[in-house]
Order: sequence, then C-alpha cells, then structure tokens
Amino acid sequence: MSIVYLACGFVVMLGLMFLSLPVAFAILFVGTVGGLLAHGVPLIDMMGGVVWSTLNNSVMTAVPLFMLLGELLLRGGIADRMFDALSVWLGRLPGGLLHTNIGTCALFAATSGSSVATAATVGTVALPALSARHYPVAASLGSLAAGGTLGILIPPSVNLLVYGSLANVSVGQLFIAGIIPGLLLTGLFFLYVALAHGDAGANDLSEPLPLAEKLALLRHLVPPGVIFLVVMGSIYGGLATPTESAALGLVAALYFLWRSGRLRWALLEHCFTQAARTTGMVILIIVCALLLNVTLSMLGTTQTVTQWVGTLGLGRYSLLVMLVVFYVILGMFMDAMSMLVLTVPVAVPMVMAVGVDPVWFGVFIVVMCEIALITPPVGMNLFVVQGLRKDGGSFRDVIMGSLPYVFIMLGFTALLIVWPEIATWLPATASAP
Amino acid sequence: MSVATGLALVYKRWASNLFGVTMLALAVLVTIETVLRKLLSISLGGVDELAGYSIAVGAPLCFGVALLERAHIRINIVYIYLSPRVKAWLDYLSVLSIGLLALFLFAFSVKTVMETQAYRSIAQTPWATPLIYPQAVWLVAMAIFLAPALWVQGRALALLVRGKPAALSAEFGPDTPEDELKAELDDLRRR
Repeated sequence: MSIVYLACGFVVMLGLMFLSLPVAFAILFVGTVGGLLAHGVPLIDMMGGVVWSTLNNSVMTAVPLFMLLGELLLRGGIADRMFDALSVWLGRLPGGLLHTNIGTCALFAATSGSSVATAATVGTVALPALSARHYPVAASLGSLAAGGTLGILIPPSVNLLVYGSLANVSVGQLFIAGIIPGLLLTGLFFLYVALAHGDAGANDLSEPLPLAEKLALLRHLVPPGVIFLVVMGSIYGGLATPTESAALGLVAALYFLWRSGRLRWALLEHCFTQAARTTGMVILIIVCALLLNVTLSMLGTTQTVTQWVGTLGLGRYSLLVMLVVFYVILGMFMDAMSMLVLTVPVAVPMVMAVGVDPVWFGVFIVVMCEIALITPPVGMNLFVVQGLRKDGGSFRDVIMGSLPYVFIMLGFTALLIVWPEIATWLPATASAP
Repeated sequence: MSVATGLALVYKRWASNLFGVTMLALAVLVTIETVLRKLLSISLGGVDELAGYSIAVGAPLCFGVALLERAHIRINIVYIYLSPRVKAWLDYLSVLSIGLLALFLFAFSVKTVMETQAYRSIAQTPWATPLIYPQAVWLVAMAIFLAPALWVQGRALALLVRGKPAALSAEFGPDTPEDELKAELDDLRRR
C-alpha cells in the first residue's frame, strides 16, 4: 500500500466527520471499505472476533469505572466544595481568585475526566464571586476555560486511557507519565496569573478568615485527595492495574458519599445514566478504531508510514514540530476525542520511526487535545465558559482571555520535546508494569 | 409525554441501571480481590474474567443509552452553516449510519457466537468457561442496542418523508456544547 492510499483514506474519514456523520461510523466505514477493497470478504470475517476480544477485556472495564467514579464525585457534591476550600488558601496570592479557578480545576481534574463538567461546576461557583470582586472579565473567563483543560491530562484521564487502548501502550505507565506534566502545566498557569494579573483582586476588601476556619475548610479536600492517592498510589506502587485502581477509587467514593449522607438511589440512578452515556460514546469509538486498526495492520500501514518518514529525512525535532502545527490546526476544527482516534493509528508508527517513546507521545497528544479545547472556532471549553456568563458579553472576551494559555501550552510542548524526561522519568521509577 | 418518549425513557433507565449496578458490584468484587491478593496473598480467581464479560455485555447497553441521549460524537462545524433541509438530510444519514453500525456489530456478534458454538470454544482462563454462555448474553445485549438503533432510524425516515425537517433536526440533530452545558447547569441547580 502506498502512502497516497493511506492519505485518501484519511481524507475520506475527515470528510465524513465534517459532514457531521457520527465519528464512530466514519472510522468504521473507512476501515471496512478499505479492508474490502484491499483483501475482500476474509478481512471483514476477521472483524467479528475483534469486536468480542475488544469488549471482553478487563482493561476496557476501567473506562466505565472511571466514568462512574467521576460522576459520583461530581454529582455527589464532593467536588463542589473544593472551590470554597481552595479560595481561602489561594485567594491571597497575587492574582487572587484566578489561582483558585486554576487550582480547583486541577484538583477537580484529578478526579473527574469531563472538561465540560469541570468548567461548568467551577465556573458556576466562581463567576459570581469574581464578578462581585471586580476581577477583569477576560482574565477570569480565560482562567476557567484553560483550567478546565487540565482534566484530560492529569490522571485518571479518559483520553490517556483511549490512547493506551489504540496504541497498545500500558495505561498504568501513561497515567504515571501524566502526573508531572499535569502538575507542571498547572504551575505554569499559576505563574502566568501571578505575573500577568498580579493586581487582580486587589480591590477585594473581604476580611480574611481566621486560621482555624481556614483549616476546617481543608476537610473538603480530603475525599478528592484520598481518592486521587488511592487511584494513583496503587498504580504507581504496582499494587493495582488501572482497572483495579478505578474499582478501589469507586469504593472509596461510595464510602465518602455514605459518610456525608448523600448516598441515595436517585443520585446513583442519575450517575448511572451519565456514566452509561459517556461510556457508550467512548467505547463505541474505541471498538470502531480497533476495527480500523485490523485493516491498517493487514495493509502494512506501520511499514508504509515508517518508510515514508524515512524518505522525508525528518529528524525527531522536525517531525514533532510538524505534528504540533498539524494538531493545532486540526484542533481548531475538531473536538479532542475525535482528533485522538483519527490520528493515533498513523501518528504513533510515524513518531516511533524516529525513536519517540509511545508513552511520551501519549502525553504529547493529550496536551495537543488540551489546546484543541480552547482554540476557536471549535473550542469546547470556550463555548461552555461563554455559556456560563450572565453579563451577555462578547465571545471575544473568552477567546482573548484563553489565548495566553494556548501560548503557555505551546511553550510547555516545546519543553516536553526538548526534555522528554518530564513525562518519561516518573514511569521509569514506578513499579507499574 | 408521547409513547415514543416514554419508551425511550424506560429504555435509558433500565439499561443504565443494569449497567450501573453491574459496575458497582464489579467494583466491590475487584476491590475485595485486590485487597485479599495484596494483603493475604489469597486470590478469588476469575474476577478478571468476570470484569471482561461485564463490560462486553454492558457496553452495548451503553451504546443504546448514548444513542438515545444523542451522545455519539458528531462534528458540526460545517453543519451549523447549512440550510434546515440539508441539516435534516444529514441528521437522517447520521441516524441511518448508527443503525447500519448497530446492524454490523450485531452481524459480527451472530457470526462469533455461531463459530463458538461450532468449535465449542472455551475461555483460556482457570475457569475454562464455555464461551457460548457469556457470548449468548452478549448477543442479547447487542440485540438490545440494535432495537433502538432501528427504531430511531424508522422514526427519522418517517419525519423526513412527511416533510418535517425542523422536527427531525430537533429530535436527531447533534448535541451542541450549549445543550451539554444546559444539562450540567440543570443538574447543578438540583444539587
């Protein structure tokens, strides 16, 4: 197979997606039609077994368990109270409550995988407080939109899980690899707020709370903190697989909900529906993408791509810079999950041909997905934050407020490329397989 | 509430609850197994296998819920600029494509189950489970996904034939970020 056929398949898939057909169907269509054209019916016959083996896989169970965990924390109110707790601690830093937005989003991200849920929950609590204290509008909106993107990098991350399934990379290693980049990016956001908006919140005349009350508020951080430690600690220590760690986290969340008296059947029912909704969406895409992988591997895609990259004479740096440009442009028009499944089957063999670590590339691609969430015209978080506003202001405010964070993320990507150890060092020290 | 809406609600509720209760039970079982294995070096055995079967059967139920909740991702960057008539056609094609996808997955499942029956395949696990048992339940779950996929296809076709593009797009158009946000805010108000 030549690279031209591969490019044609990619363009057809992109075309079907832009015609607003379901992403899962677009992937399956190209996979089956491509398979039929190249190898006829026998290749399609192989696919039945792939559907069963993809679904009958305990690793896949991690998807619904993490979804359910995030839903319980969110809808059980465990996450809602984080903003109050963090605002008394971070609100006095230069930049005031803008830090709280970033901090709450990061902490929230550590337990929930949904950027819409993160931005909506934090934004609903934060925007009235920011407005009452006369914080600059664009900066407030930008910190919420950008903070909300941290959810897909800081583990447990559904995007990393999907990447792991598609690229056949250890999800445990990916989760561990996401920790330092997630924290570092959060730190860079904090630094930007302090430097660029250090005087924001200077007019905040509210009395600081006594230390005893501030300490008392820290109790709201205990459940999410414990759950994060249980999930990530068990993976890092090699005590549990990602599926087992999700189960441990879920049981811990049930305990905290029971303790707080919020564990009711109505709450569980609502969480079940939400988790089933997102699980169905994600797993259908994974199944279709793995069916496409059958065709791609039968067509010898890895070899074709490797040879093609060889003929271009590209080195690691030039290829990665090209990919950054490609992903930033693609991310302007596509949502993060679609971008991930569309590109991973081809991009992974491409980068591995120049010696890039697939675990590192998982982190890289998720940072690209984060950028996609806040780049117009299709930036999910931009729409969500704009939708939360009550002042009827222009969409431009959200875009301008978020733009500096896009540049921070691009700068961070450069750091990641120059020092890949940012992502690869921690997994190398872990006991996880 | 129309009969159709009522049926969709019943489907979503039962499928989600069955899925959710199974996942919670599985989480408890996996937790017990992990703790026993690490602390007392005792293994219950077969929990991994059960986890696999649970998601194999649970996933098709979730596909159906996602379909009725319009959660299967569609990219609407071009769509939003099109005329209502073209939008309605694309919405119909979208529903049709999910119907075809469900049919395809169901056909794959039937073929897999028939092969399992013919070869009397067993799982390569300590339990050596005859695969026909979990796969029979899996096939039923696939049929449970196929049913609403075909039903919404018929409903969308009826709206298209009757010349009701606005109603078709309202019912089967892509879920926008605004819709998702509204749902989140409604939920926040309830909390």
